[in-house]
Amino acid sequence: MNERLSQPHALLTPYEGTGHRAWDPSAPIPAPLCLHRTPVLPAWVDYNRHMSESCYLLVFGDSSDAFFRYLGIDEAYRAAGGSFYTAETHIHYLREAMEGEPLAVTFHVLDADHKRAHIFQAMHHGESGALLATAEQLLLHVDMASGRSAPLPDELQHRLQAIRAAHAVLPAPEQVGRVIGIRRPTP
Amino acid sequence: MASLPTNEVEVEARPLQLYSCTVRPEWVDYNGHLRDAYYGLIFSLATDALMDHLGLDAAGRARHGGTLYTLESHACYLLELHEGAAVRVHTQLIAHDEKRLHVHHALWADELGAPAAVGECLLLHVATAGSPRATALPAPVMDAVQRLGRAHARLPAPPHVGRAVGLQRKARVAA
Repeated sequence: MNERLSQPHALLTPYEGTGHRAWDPSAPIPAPLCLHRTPVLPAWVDYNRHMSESCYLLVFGDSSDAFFRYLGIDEAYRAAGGSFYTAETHIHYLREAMEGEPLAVTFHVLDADHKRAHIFQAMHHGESGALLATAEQLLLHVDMASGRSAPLPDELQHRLQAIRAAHAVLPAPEQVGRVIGIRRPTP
Repeated sequence: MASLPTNEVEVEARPLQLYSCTVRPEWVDYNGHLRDAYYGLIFSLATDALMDHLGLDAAGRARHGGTLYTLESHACYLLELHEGAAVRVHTQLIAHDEKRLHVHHALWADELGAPAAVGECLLLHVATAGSPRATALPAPVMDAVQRLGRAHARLPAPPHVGRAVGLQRKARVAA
């Protein structure tokens, strides 16, 4: 069942090579952002034609890449020595996704500082809108040369804070801040 | 002190080491680092190995008519891994009830002195005949879970268990 993942999902995301759109400070920022849509690909499903667990992370990862490009981080930025890493991810699996079904991912910036972003992604069925899965993540900006976290350039910090401000109107999703655990576990 | 029946095998109080592999070239990103989805794949494969260990391998799933679904997972990516790294997963049972398991995995690599990643997951036993519904673990699987639970109760809780995502780390109440 898991051998399918040895077929490469592109090493690169679907957006590689597309650069980034120029930031327009006067354009309204959608709340939330919806920057990535994809059908469930055949390489992602198990013998039941359901998308496998780790493939949800591929889809969230492609959505993050679309967000970085929205912010202004693309292959040219990375060539200059900066990048974003996912430091932590908390996923809730709510409903299964079948091969061929359309997926739409929303992106909500919950909090951000000079080098980190706390974000929330929601994966919906692209037609019915049913919520399939959520990912709460900590993203960390890194200087590739030192391998250590490093502040974003001022302009990108400014843009990230603008997105955070625009997203402050959104209600806090119920999965945010959750901890895995079993109450009253069997002794 | 009562002694164990002679046919009971006492489980050692150490994490299980059920899964190991080598980081494949198609798992790394444009920086040559293992991509987060593939840390997730390694943890999924380790969960599959745990299911085999507890009697929920393919034959067991067919016999009992059920499987484990992942409800939630929480991973911290701590250190970079490169193509070709030999990795192994240490697995600990943190808690369980009649139909759920809270499992912790730590991903170790031969050349590292600390885990490259840690992940917790919440697994739910589901009967698969008809439309899936949550149901109690079958008795022989529950026996194996309880034996493992007793042994792992003697282990210290791994440091990242009970963590919430955020810029300020605040533990919140479990759902």
